[in-house]
Amino acid sequence: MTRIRWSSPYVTMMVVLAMYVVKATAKLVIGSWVHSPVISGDGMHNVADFFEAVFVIVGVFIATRPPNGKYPFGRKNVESILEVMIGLGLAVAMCVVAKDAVLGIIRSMHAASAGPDTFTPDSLRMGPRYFWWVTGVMFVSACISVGIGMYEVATGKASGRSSIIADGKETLVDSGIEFTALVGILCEYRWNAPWIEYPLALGVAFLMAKTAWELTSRGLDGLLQRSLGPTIESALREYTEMMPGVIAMTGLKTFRIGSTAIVIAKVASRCHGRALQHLKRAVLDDLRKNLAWYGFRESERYLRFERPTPHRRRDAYAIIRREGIAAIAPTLEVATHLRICDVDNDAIVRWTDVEKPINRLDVLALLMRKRVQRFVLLASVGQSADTAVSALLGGTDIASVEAHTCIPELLGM
Amino acid sequence: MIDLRPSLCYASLLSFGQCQQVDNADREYVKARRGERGGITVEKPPVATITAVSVPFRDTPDGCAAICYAADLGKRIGVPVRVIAHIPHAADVLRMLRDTSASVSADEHRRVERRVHELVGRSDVEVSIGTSSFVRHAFPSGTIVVDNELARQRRDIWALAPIEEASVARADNTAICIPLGDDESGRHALRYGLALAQRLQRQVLCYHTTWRKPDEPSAQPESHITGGTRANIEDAEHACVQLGIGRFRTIIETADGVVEGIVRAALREHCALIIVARGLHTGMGSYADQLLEESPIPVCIAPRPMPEVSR
Repeated sequence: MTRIRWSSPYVTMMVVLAMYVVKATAKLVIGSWVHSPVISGDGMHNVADFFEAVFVIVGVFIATRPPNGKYPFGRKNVESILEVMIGLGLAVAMCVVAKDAVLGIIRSMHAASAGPDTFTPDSLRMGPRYFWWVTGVMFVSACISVGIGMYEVATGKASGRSSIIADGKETLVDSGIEFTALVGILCEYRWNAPWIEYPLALGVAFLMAKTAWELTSRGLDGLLQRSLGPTIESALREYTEMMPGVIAMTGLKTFRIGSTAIVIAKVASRCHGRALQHLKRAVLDDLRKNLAWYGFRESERYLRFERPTPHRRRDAYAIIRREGIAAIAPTLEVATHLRICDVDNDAIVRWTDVEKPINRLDVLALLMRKRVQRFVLLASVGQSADTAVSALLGGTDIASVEAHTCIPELLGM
Repeated sequence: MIDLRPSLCYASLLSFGQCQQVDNADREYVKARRGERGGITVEKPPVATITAVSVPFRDTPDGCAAICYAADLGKRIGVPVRVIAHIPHAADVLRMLRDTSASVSADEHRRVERRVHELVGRSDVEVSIGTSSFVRHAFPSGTIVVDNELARQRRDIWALAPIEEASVARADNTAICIPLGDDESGRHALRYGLALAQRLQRQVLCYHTTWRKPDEPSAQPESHITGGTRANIEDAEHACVQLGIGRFRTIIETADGVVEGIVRAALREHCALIIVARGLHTGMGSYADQLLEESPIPVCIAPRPMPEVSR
């Protein structure tokens, strides 16, 4: 015998459908029996909820279909559409509840001014014969709504299906309506004061408005591909930049399709080969874990590694070269050669020696012809710097800098 | 202290790898030495001694990162940091510059010192000028040499390749990964790894990847490991407790490749350092050398000859 997986989205929605069938039937029968528009209306609301649940099942089925060439991200946005629909439906229901509550309050105030005990809903059947049926159905229905709503939210979170979470929240709001109706009925029977139902209904309308806003804005966020927010983005950036080998996360785009988080990131790293492969896998895994921590059970991460932005320049070192040995010269006068170096991100990647011209002005012309940006001499220690060089380079864009060692090998040459 | 089995000391079990198989009697002995029986003096497990951190001076992006890493490591461990500037063809260079009337050796020292202090932002880093090549330089015992190239070139020194990192850890709660096998190199790495973990106050992550036993149906990697590995892991765990290392974890996998498994586990678990030893009998393709190529995480390689053991 196959075991029923209660955490499956489809099983959950089947339970929800069964609940609506039972609730709607019971409320419509009892409502028409006692001539209560409140109970009958709630029953009709449950009929509408039944079809909404059917839409959710269809939505989940479509959203879980795999991506293909036509739909590279799948059809997960169907869930966002459902969220918006449920949110808007809830907003409409909220308007109806609020309108009834306000009208009820106005009517009860008119009735109170006309005289005591004059406000009784038309043709409502009251009495001990009906009391236990009415209160029993409403109480059990409200309790079932709480239980099933929580079950839906839990299943939706576990399976990452936002439409089921939305439906669960709507079911929980329904329980509020049912409890309010129950309170109204009890007050009607106990104190003949049905007006208490209306202020409570206004409170429920407020909760409905809040939930409707949450669902609609969340659904729209998904449809309009709004970013996951600065909190999540900064956490993703921070954790990625903590990974050894990562220089920085240079680009990050996040958004949501249905309940799936999409992350498109650019990471700067000097790693290459197998190290880069390992790093890429680790960063992807880390992003997945972080997104799961923020409630995104499903995520798609697209990562592009790139070398750090190159900062290239050309330096010229004054060199003394004799018998195949070279040293950085402390002054231009003693230099025998100029070493023209191509520098990429502070690392010398190419150098070539040029014999130093005898004339200083020729040296300057050479530096300018080679497009040198920095002219390097050995750092002076306790002596005055070569002022002649400063004078020579004055008025040009070539900066005069000092080397911290006389050994070219230690500078990466 | 009661010496139960003079022929087999605890150090040999944990570190020197004299015995390939750990039989039941040996296990009993180890338990006894651990103080699991009453009346036995408990001995601290042997760990390597760290006396200094050395780093060659190179005024290049990688060299500067290594100097910063060494300075950070030395500060965290609490040992002196020595930067050595090597002058090849020293006599010729000095002669050449002396022609220019500069007091070269002292001046070079001051220049390098100024640069190093500027890089690390503090002045307690010692700088010296060396004339012998680093390939032959005699580093004192217990010195961790921070350099990517020397980690590849020399097998007799305790080398640490920082790869491209400029500090020991980007986050404070990182662990030190010590891959363990059933042979002596794992136990050897453990001595150095535990020394670093203890001084750096880091968690220890022991990693082992195993081949599947053909006759073992279980999918659990633990079911496929050898008795020697199990003993090594238990010893590592016990040593951590003895040394007061707060947290110890073991990951056992059946990864596709050893080096791949180590690097991926270390990255996954946010390790700051991987510590390995070269196998004594490995002819080609040492895991340590492969790690230097494949790991974005700094790799520390224990020296081949055993230095003195601190008790």
